[in-house]
Amino acid sequence: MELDDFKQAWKQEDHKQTTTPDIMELIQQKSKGPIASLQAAFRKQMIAVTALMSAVTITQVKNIESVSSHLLFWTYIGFCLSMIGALYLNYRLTHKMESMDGAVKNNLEQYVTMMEKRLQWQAVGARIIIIFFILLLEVIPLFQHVRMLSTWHALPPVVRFASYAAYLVFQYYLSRALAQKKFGRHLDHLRNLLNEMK
Amino acid sequence: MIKHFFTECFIVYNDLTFLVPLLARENLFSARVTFISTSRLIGKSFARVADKDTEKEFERRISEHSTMIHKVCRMYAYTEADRQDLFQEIVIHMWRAYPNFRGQSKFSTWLYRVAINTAVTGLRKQKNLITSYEAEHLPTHVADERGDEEEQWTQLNEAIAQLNEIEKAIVMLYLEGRSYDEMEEILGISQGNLRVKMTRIKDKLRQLTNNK
Repeated sequence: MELDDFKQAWKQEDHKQTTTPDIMELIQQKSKGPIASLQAAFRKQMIAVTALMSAVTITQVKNIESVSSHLLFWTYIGFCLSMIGALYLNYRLTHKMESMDGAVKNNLEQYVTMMEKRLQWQAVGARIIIIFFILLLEVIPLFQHVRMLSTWHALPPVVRFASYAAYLVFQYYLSRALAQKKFGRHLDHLRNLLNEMK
Repeated sequence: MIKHFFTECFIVYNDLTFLVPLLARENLFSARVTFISTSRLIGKSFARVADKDTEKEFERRISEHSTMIHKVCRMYAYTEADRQDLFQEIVIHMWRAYPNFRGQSKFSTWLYRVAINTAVTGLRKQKNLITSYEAEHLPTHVADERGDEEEQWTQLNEAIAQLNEIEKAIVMLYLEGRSYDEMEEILGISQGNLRVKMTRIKDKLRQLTNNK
């Protein structure tokens, strides 16, 4: 049987057997797609970081005078705020990815580009955070928290910097593996589809 | 009729808002308050009526075209549960995209775009929707056909299930009798490219069915 012979059979097929669910009920439902799960994850992370930041701030209210001059405390608050900002940007990006009414090829291109952009941001963001904390770890004891000079800073600089480098390399491979496991196969598959359309 | 009336009211409301600062300047405070509350009421009623109307219109259109959505689900999902999930996902995405539909293309073209995009990009987690198929879940031919043809139908269905998502979309639109013009509009692939792909898909299907 050729595909053209199949045309008639396709049209003849009895689709009435499949009952159409209540449309009004369906549109009240939440999407279960991958974009919706990403959005939900970002929302949860934003709430979690905000809650954590608030909890730390509330517990430090009693010592506000001493804490207000602590570099670590303000670094932590700044870090939390930038995390919330980054998560919000990601959340906004996933909103843009929700658009499904363009031509399939354009939509796929846009989807893949945004997904890649998001993963790149995530990887770069993670590296910046690590470098920032390494710098903080190296610089802070010189001004505050002098106790650290007798522990971590007591180690020779070669060991310390080798550990930082090892951690950065480990993080690089780990984040790549995780991204590949979570999105990689899906993204590769979509990229292949896109190449086939060109 | 009601919708038009409220649209007119809304336009008048927008025009009259220019009067508000003037009323305020003239210390006609009570008049201003009355004006604002009335116009807000009209605005809200308009929005409510428009929403209800949009919902009804959307429901009517989806019900009219539900067969098309079922066919997309049939092409991309092979178990009843997966089809239902895909149907729901498509309808949700259509509802979200509906405000952007301005009738520049046919409703069916727009519907296919949303449905295929949702099927291609939207169901990553359910791997069986993307790559594999189960023969027992493939559709069966209408009862009065000969057994031989039924077997060929099943073979062809199995072969189609092995195509990638874009090829499936092309096959589905071809079987639906859509013109290459419309297929180009839906998929964003040039007509020349589509024709070449169609020939290749037919060869591929022939090979797949002959190998069985």
